[in-house]
Amino acid sequence: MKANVMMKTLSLAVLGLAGLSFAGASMAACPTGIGGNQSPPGPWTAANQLQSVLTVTTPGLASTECMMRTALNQNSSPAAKASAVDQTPNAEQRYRARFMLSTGIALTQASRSALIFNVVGPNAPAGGTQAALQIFLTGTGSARGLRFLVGDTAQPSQYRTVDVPLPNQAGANRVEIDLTFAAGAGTNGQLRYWVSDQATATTDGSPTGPAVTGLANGAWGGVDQVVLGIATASGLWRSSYTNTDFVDFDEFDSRRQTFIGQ
Amino acid sequence: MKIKNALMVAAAQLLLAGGAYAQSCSPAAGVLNDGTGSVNINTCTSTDQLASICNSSTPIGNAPDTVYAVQIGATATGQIQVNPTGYDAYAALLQGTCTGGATCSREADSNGTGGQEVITASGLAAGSYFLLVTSFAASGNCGATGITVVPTMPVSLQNFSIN
Repeated sequence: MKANVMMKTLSLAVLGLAGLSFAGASMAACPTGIGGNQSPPGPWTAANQLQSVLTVTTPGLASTECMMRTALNQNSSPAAKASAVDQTPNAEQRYRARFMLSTGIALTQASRSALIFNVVGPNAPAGGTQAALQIFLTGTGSARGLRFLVGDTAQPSQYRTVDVPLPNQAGANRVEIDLTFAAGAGTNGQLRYWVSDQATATTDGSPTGPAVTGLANGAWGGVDQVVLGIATASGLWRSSYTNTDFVDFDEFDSRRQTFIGQ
Repeated sequence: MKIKNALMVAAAQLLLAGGAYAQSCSPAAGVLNDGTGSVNINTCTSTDQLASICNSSTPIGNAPDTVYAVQIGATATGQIQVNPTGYDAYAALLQGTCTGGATCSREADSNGTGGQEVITASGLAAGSYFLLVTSFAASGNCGATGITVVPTMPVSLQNFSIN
């Protein structure tokens, strides 16, 4: 019974994210607003917005009808953000999620980065924060890429880092994660990830890079909420880019066990 | 559901032998309500309580975190004004719990050093909130601060006459 209840809770997240990708013939299919302001009501718990653009626009990515469009105002606060929050997860010990991402920002310099996906636990390790996994959109020196910071209390920084260039520099990319938590002080937590052109099929057995294994991540206690959108942008991002330098998101889905893919 | 979750977390913490904790804060500065009017505080006397707020998506550095408990009533339309002296204040209204994972229902960081930041209550759900005042500056990030509560103002009859 408990498992069924929790699965239903997560399925709401699936429905909500579908709300950003409704197939349909008119803009009326797109919800207006995000979180508490959404109409019709959706499963996003809240919208976080400060000195930014956060809208639902049409068309979406990859032939979908709608997508979430975000941008920060130029010279905005370090706290500037444009994101949606899903608080339906409940200390999930395994969490799988997928979303699509596209940006036209000429993002090549590593000094320009912003948090785009934050996986938050109910706990924090001593001296740390509740962020169990963070994905940043960043320049790699020559191209756009993603930086994964996955929690591991065995590291002095409490995180391990994985950098992945975006396969589709000018269009939509699909990002999927499969995060497993160690029990207690165990060291068997794991992160698998897929980063692909949205048009390219992916399979459960062939992640993009080697699994990040041996994670001591039990201190985060699982996944309690996730935040999709942009936040925590670097100073050069906030000074260089304007409210028309968009980062677009679509097709968010989250599950406990099964691969999501296309 | 979150209550159940909290119990599970508490049990997990016991098993972790001190390895994890709920990143929480305390409203040590007191309580703000419609009757508060204006209060003055030196935020340098506060401690650095949280490393990250707003669903743990906004790192707030090592500046002191001054935290008040705030109860918002239904259809409240008032505001809280933060008037810092000599530093650049950032204010956030945390909803429900005083934790790094709480959602920030309102934030304000519109002005620079010495500039007023305003948190408005209009549109907020009734319930418990926490006002956190801090700064992103690496140094010179605290100081004398006036906090003014402008309550929900009833329409008052100023004059009435029949000629």
